[in-house]
Amino acid sequence: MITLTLLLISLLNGGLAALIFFRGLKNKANFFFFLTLVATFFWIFGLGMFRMSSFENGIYWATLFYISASFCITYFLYFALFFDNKNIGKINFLNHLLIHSPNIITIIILLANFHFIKDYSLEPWGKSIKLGPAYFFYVTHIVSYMGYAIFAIIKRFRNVSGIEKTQLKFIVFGTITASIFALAFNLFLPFYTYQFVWIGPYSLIIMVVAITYAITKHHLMGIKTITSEILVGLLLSILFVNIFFNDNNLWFKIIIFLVAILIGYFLIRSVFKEVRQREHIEKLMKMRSEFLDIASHQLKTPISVIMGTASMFREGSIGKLPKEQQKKFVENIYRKSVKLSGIVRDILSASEFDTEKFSLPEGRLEPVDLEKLLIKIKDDSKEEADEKGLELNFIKTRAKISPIISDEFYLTQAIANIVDNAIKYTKAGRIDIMLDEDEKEVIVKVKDTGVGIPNEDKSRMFGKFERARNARDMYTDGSGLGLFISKEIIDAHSEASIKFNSEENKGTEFIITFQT
Amino acid sequence: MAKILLIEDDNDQILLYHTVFKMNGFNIISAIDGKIGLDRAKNEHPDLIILDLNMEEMSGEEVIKRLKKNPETKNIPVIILTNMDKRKFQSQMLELGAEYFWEKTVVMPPDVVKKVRDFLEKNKIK
Repeated sequence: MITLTLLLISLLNGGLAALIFFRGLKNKANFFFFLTLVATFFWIFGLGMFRMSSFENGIYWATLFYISASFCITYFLYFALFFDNKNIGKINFLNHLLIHSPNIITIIILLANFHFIKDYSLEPWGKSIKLGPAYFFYVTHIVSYMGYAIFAIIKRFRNVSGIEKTQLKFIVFGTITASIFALAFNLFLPFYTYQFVWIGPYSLIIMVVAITYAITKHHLMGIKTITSEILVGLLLSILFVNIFFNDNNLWFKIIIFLVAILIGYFLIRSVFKEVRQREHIEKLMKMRSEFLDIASHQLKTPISVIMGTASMFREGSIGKLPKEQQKKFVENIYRKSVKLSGIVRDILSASEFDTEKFSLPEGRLEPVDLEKLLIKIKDDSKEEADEKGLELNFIKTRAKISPIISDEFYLTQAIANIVDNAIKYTKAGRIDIMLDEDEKEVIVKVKDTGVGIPNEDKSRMFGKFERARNARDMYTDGSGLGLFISKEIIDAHSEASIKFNSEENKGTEFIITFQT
Repeated sequence: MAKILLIEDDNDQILLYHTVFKMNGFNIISAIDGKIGLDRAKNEHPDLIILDLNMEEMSGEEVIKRLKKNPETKNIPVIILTNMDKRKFQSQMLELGAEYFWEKTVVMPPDVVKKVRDFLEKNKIK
């Protein structure tokens, strides 16, 4: 009975590992928690098989569970470190090797039979192992890694607040309780007797229950997914245990079990797909309403100047001013109208790109002189750059640049968006618009000394409505459409690409290439 | 004549309101961002502050919170003049101590002057 329960617990762990795997190993902490659970699965499974197998084979299962436990603790430490600090950076090979060295040593001393297992015997209550001096090394490894990991987790836990804290509470409680139980029954008690070695894994039930509770309580996943996973898990458990009940039709049962795994996999995957789609739609809806807020505010800003100025003309107060000053007001109305039409154009383009993959209008494609186009963009943006005291340059490194086949209207929009951004997100310094050509391609670069794009935002910068964290802080009413539109337009050219290099607080360089 | 401080980060808006207030005999000064606005409020003792909400360096919300926290500036009446949505922000701003919440596309500059004058007269400020 104990043995069967052990096997069930190991399956429960495997199930939780699968759950996390399906959910996506989004960050390193998740990834290492997954590995920890996989190792735990092998550990408990080994323990179960140790009790169940013949006397001769028991020693091999013991070797398996000691090695698995060693890896389990190591991955748990990794998990805790990444959990505490996501920005721990890249760990190089040497450091990985160093962290893994206790595992390697454990494998060697176990396989070489080097004073780890001193004596292996059959007692009235079952198989028993007497541990040798090398076991102290193992204990040191486990205790130190575990201690440090728990320390890191608690540290992180104390630093978070709000909803994250309530979510973490159960995970932290479950994991730590399980760890302490496992340490007591599987690490220290075996010094005296091996009889109770099976109790440790039972504490893992606490962990699994706590984590599952945290997940369901806080709606981290849809109830549909959970239900399908529980059903599949239950079915697999029954089939798995059935394999060991008696020896009839062993292979048949194994095949059924494997087929069930396969079917379960596809079932859970399809449910996941559905849940993901729903999440995606919800996200889009939220983005849409945010966009409406932003768009209405962006439209109102120039409209309020146009309306305000016109109202003063109507009331007659501007008419009393000298001619020169009156001209300035008319100029303002004109500039704000241009801006307004630009915003309307962006919004329309974005919804146009929304419905289908954008393509350039066939009939209007013609050779475009990039030099003329870039100089026009520069001239149009000059006033804004001057207002902020920024230097705006056009630099051409070659006398003659091949024309490219494009549509002037869209291409201007694509590059002007990037120059606009450069001006918007540069506080001081310069913006260079560069044009160059080599044997294969024409290259346009827009380089600024602005705030740069934070690393964590780089991957989504071309997405619709996406804005970098520092851009949001700096300039609250951007629409997040500029780069999305630029990319759609550039991608619609045959053999053209757009990419960027950026460093936060140093600047950004956009590189657009057109094959000639 | 009453002194008005306009905290607003759009140059075109500043030009507009400067012109209309000056033509109507007011003394108007302005600040291009929230931080400068707080300094000028402290140092120049305006009779009234007209505050925009959506500003780059420091939001209008933060500005009014700080104005109302500082004993030197907490008695200066503040009027919000913005493009932000009235339905969403008005009650919050009035709670923070603003006198009125005016939308730029609804209350035109000549009306802003008129309403400011009425407010000052009603409260017997200069």
